[in-house]
Amino acid sequence: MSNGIELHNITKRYGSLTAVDDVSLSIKDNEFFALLGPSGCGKTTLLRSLAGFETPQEGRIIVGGVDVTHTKPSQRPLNLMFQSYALFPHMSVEKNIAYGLEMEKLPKAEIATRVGEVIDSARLGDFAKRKPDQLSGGQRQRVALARALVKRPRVLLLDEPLSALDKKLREDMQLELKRLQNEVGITFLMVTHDQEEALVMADRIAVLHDGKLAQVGTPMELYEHPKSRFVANFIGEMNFLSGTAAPNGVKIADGGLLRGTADTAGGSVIAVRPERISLQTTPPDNSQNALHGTVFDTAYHGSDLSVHLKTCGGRETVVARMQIGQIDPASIPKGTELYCVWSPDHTRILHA
Amino acid sequence: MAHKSSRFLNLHLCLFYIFLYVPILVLMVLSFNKAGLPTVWTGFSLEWYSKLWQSKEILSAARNTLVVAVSATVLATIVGTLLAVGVETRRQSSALDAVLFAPMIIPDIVLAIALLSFYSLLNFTLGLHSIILSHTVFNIAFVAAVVRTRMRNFDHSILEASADLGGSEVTTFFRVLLPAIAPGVIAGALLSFTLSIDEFIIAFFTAGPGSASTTLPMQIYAMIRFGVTPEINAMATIVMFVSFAIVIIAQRADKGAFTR
Repeated sequence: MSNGIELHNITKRYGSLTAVDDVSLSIKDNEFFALLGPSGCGKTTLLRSLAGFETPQEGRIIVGGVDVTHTKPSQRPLNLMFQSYALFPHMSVEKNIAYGLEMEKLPKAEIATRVGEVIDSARLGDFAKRKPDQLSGGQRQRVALARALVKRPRVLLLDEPLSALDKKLREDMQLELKRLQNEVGITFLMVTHDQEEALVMADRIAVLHDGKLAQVGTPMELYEHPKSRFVANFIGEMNFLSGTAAPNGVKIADGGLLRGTADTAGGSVIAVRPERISLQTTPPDNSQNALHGTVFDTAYHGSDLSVHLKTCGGRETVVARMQIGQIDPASIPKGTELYCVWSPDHTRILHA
Repeated sequence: MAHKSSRFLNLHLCLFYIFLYVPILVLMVLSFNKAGLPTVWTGFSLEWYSKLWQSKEILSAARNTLVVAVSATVLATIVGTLLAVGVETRRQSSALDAVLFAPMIIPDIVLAIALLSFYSLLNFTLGLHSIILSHTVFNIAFVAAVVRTRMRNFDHSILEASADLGGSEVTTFFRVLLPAIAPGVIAGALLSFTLSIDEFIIAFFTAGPGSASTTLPMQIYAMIRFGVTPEINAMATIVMFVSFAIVIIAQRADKGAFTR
């Protein structure tokens, strides 16, 4: 039996608003998949449709080879970890975890064994008798996870699983969730608005924009080869320079021809990541893209330094990100004139 | 400056409490007065309380009141809770809200006349059961209001979590929703009990003839026409303590839920 998910042409409307617009996706067996997008992009609606709390007007949802489009939430072979965790406040940790198994009418002994196992592996042994409000945020999150996983679903849905945790704990949990997914060997489908979280955790990411699928790919594909300005802008930092389309590049006013690789022909926007730009005092040879600019601001981030330059006669701003070891912030005071240099291989040509 | 104004406020508070509670205190003290005089203290006695126990009429009225209060509370709590759950989990509507709150705001006398006309229109025989029904009607609004406040203070996703974990709607109601709103339900029930136990106007209008459906407030009213006796003081004292105790329990129940 497979643990994959297939979404065929899912459309969900609320009155005149189309929350999810003709989305088709295929999520592989035991994949860690992320639905990424800004708030209102339809990712939560899609997740809730999968869990069964929303019924799309069009399309089919197939989980593990079975069409569940019209199956009740309680009958679907998947479980959801809620953003608020949704722990039952009047039940102890133990009872919360046992609830799902009691619904399956399993023998008491089996329930006790399985709950015990999950409590041990989630390191909740000391808190088993406590109520949710006697737990810390991190512990509550582990209970919510344990409560969903004890059901042994084919697919675990995670709704912004780490958004309620503080930064340090969130980073630990990112790796912890990845490790857990490897261990239990089921499909994880996560919804998040945090692009960094999606990049770190997911095997593949689907970026949603206004209810439509913008791009699907591995984190590296999305980061290095964004297909649209929206994706390029949403994931990581990006410099955009507008001009007119030219063969193999874009002609920028007061900046000359900038070359790049394109998946879409005829684009008129040049996109380059700040960390791909190097700064030098002399112009490079012709194999590189170059823009002459003047430093007007620098921002110190600890491990690296953002240098903001005015280029193209002051009309465009370019940000370059340098490792602190490579550059001394004191050596580039405001007003320093430099060349921004980068390779055409790291340049994307996109449509405006 | 601040000190002066707080002293003034304290004085104001004292006057307020004196105005509110001195008459009640006088009533309570006089219920232990040996002689049946409303103005002269002649010594401590429990005579009037024992007289209460011997009066058949009063005991029967007290029994009627308890029957009405308990039945109306049970009915109103069930219906009111379901109403609150339904209203809070469905789409919000301010028109519906207004209709729900109306029985709390409508003057009792209006509701009493309306119910009486309605019963006679249906050729409904009046009696204890018609009082129970009438009390249920206005208590539903109070129970629903208390339970709705509680419904707004809990995370509704626990209901979806229950469904997600395989719970049916019935299981979700009894195992997840009801425990979560239980303090509100208990508070609503106790409130409805206290309202019912000393309600006079509606009971008076919708009661049947004779003493079979006379409630305690109606009995007091009948007795008071021959002057205030220490017996009435004694009864009023008991009724007040019962109501007071229930209100305190209700507050405890509702507060417990937030601190738990």
